[in-house]
Amino acid sequence: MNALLEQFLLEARELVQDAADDLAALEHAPDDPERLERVFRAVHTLKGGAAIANFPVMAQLLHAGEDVLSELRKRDIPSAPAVIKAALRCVDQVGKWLDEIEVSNELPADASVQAEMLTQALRQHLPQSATKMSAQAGPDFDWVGPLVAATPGVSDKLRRSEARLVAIAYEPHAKCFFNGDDPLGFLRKVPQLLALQIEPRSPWPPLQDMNPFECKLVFRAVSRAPREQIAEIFRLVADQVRIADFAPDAIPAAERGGAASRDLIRHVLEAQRDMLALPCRDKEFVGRLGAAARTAINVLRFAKAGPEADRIERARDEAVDARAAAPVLDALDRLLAEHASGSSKSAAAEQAAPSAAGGSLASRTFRIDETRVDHLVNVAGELIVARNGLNDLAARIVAKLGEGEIARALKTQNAAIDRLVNETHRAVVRLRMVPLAQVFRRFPRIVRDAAQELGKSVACATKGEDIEADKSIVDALFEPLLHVVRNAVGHGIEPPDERRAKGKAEEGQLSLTALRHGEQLIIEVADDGRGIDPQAVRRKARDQSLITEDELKDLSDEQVIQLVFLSGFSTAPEVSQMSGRGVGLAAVRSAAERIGGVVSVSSDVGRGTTVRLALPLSMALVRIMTVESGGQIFGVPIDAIAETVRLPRDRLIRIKSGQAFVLRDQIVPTCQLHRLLDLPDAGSRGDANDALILVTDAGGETAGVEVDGIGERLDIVMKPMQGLLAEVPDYAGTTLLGNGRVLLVLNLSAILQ
Amino acid sequence: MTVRLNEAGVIVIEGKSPVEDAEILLEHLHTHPSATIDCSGCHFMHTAVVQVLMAANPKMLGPCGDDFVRTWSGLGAKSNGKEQRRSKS
Repeated sequence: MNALLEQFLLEARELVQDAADDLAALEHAPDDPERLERVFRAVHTLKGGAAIANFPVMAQLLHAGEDVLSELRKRDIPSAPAVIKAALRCVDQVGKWLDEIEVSNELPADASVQAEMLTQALRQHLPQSATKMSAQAGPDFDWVGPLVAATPGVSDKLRRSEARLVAIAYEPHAKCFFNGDDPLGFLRKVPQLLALQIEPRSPWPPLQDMNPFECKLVFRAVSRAPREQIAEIFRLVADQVRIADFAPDAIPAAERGGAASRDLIRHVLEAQRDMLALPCRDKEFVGRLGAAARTAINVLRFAKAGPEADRIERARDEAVDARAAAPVLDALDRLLAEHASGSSKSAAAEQAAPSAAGGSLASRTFRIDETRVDHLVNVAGELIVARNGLNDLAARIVAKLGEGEIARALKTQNAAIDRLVNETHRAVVRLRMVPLAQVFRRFPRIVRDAAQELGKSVACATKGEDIEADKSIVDALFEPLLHVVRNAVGHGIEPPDERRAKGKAEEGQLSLTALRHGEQLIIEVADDGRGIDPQAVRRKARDQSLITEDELKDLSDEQVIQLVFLSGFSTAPEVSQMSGRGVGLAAVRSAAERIGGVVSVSSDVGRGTTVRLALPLSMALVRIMTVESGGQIFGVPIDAIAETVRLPRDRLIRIKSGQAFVLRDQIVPTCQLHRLLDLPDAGSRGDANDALILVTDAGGETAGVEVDGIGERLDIVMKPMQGLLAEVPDYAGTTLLGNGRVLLVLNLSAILQ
Repeated sequence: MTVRLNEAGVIVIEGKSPVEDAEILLEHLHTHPSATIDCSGCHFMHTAVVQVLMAANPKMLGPCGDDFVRTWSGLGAKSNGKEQRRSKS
């Protein structure tokens, strides 16, 4: 795949996503002019990109979409849901084509048929006069603007009249003279002809080779007469002529004026240069570059300046590769300087500045291969381990040497390295951090589609999408969230009539909320639907023998509904396209666990359900505290520890089989860590010693965990548990200590449950 | 005959110039490559004739008498400066 195509795909995907998001939102708030503007620009840029990447069918479809959006923007047509839907389908189709292109480098065979269907659907919404194939369309009718502009007096007339124009592209057969056709004869009959351009199809041959009876001319004309009337004139040569409606205001302002075409060309070229010199968002770059270059090329071709046009074309290719507008800017500047031919040297001098600015602009953000970033992250991780080793060594040396000069110097140096390594690691990890918006933004659309399919009405709200998490986590999040969201729409939220009967608003509410909880990312998907009935779950679980009767008896309602995450569980009476196959929520659990997360559900029957995913935020440094218990050292993430308490043993109260103590008027149940972990009692605690207790909220409520000793605090890179150990929930991961030992990091919340 | 080469070496096109004129015109231009064209007396020119004129791009003696062709083909626009004098036939 060439670089241009790759770039196009990358940018087009983002644009499709943007446009689809905004269109989905427009369905709910159809009169949001800002969104409409954004969609319009996205579609416009996409069209430019499609044209450069040489997908004319795609460009044509997008052009139709752009037409409709433009009418919406001007409020010439009301923004009815049907219009938005047609636009959405157009954008969706482009998205599908992008997938095809990614695989096969080309559009599918049926693309033009699909494009035609969708174009028709879009055009239905255009005002009557423009219903037929429209003009300035695609490459075929590019010439209209320059032609009108270059014909003296025409464009001024146009501004005054509101009429639509008709563009005529007439390419007679080479043998048409033998048929008795006189192409100019047809054109003479065209009423209200505003402009006509007569050009050879290809450069003229030497006169001696010329066949006088072979028609080599092509004609391009613009008229103000009704389209039907013109079509009637060309009835006999309909196969050689294309007629299109054309809105006068589609002629770019830069091409207005109609003075000498030389001035005009300069004008157009200058406008392109100015546009390119403006700051531009990275994703719009190719589209904008393409549009500017194409306009420049067309105007030059029109002026019969073929070599110059070729020059711009080469510069454009260069610019796309370099991802900087500078080559095109330079080429334009040179052309303009030549055009000005001394008359406006100052203008040429001015042009140097924007060109430099354009060059630096493109480099503000740049894309890096993910594997390179990953490599950097790994190396930075190793650096932390090495740093911990150095810390350890430094501590030992200092202990041996005492507080001498060398020891102090070593400590200072060590602290500096410590700080730098931390900073490096943080910066490197940040490279991989992306906002959750990347996943969240897809959902309003999905919810809308899913709800419509089921005849429901659901509003989707998202919160906390600016929270950042590691790219791998954000990427992996989509699939489990999709299952949860579809479940909520499919099973949770009731059909409108049922909701009405229950006294709920007809429109269901679904919310996606992200929040940071220490080193964890919490994502909650909440709906206000019918909730999960624990009795039904019990029944199902029994019927499907997912769990034994005895086990079931011991479970609280709260625990019972967690069974929905069991593989094979489904309360849905029938399997629909979207959910109910009994794999959904089990898949959620396994997907969440793959990325080190935990999933849980809470529900209020009749009121709604909340599915909660707790995930690691990143592979970032985790600050841990080492604790000793049962003769072993463990790490505990500091975020899990609310505080550490040292208290006389007699303050511990025995309550049945457990212990508790009073902390600021609150009774905190407490337990010894070695018991929780089934480790032998190391017996290092005498009754004389005070009890050391970690107070934690990790299990959902305040609890104490008694340990035998508290060690140092460390910043570590935690590696998730792998292989067989990945199944053990008690451990969050492992890390390598400075002295080479492996430290197990505890997952307090899992241990306490 | 609507196309002829006169004694002064000027190719004159007059009246209604049909498609057949294209071949004759081309012949004349072959044999007299530097000939000047006078089509001010031609009120109708077939596309084929216009095409030969466009391809040969000869020197024009005054503007073309065919209003439509003069307006849109650019033929005779870049003439020898006599167009002011003879705007229409």
